[in-house]
Amino acid sequence: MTPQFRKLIRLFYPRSWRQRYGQELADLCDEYLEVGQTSRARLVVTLMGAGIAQYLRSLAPPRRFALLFASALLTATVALAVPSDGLGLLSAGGKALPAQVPAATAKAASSAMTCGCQGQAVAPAPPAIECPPGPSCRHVFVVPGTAGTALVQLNWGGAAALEGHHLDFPGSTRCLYLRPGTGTTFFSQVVSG
Amino acid sequence: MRAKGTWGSPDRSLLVLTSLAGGAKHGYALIKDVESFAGVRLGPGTLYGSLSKLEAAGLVVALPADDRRHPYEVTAAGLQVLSEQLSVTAHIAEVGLGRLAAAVRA
Repeated sequence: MTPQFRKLIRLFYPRSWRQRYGQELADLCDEYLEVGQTSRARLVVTLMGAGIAQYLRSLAPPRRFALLFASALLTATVALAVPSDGLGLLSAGGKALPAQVPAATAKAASSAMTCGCQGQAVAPAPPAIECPPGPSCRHVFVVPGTAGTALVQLNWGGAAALEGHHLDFPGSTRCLYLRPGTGTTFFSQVVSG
Repeated sequence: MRAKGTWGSPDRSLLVLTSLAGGAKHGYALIKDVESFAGVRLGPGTLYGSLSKLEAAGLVVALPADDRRHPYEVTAAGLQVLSEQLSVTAHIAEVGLGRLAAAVRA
């Protein structure tokens, strides 16, 4: 059995459950990987998710509720504490962004922030739609599970401020939606996928 | 077209019971069978989550292991539950298809 799976199962599954099913589950994970049904990373993520769900199911209702409440509180705290810069992809890329954009320019950019191919306005929580990269797209939605590199051109009201910036997005990315907060509004255009 | 993302997967337990109604299977065979008739690929963690729930409810039972893998078999109670669930689903499908046909004609 792959030690990685054994460790994951020990970490994320309740003891009684893994004593009964742990060995079988790890064997199945090995078999799953051998036949190339999935990637190791994806398998690890789904295994963790299923393990947490199993752990929650094993708790008595009051403890389950308390744990869910604590998780929600923690998530909300982290969400509030992290600066609002979209998915944080740009900051990870290490390129500095202009701090401010003239109000009129920002307004113009904001009004232009629609996805040309779907007609969907950009919202703080982008709708889960697929918007293929192309010249008519102001922002691009990435199908969860795909990973790759996008070449984006960032515009502030028509003035190209940053061109040819490569963004690597992981498989869990829902969309490339770039908005660095603090009143600065801009949009990205995927030049090539 | 957003239909694909609009609907969640069918009830996993129902898929597992449906698969086992065709005969006892071990984990990987179950995954392949469900994928073939429902187009849903269950992950190992999801599958064993469903199997453990079904076994705890007495709807499936593990058979003695062959080559370290336990085949699972649906019990009589499991067949009863499956029958009830599929009847409900079939009724919904019948009503929905009837109304759909009427809407297309209109």
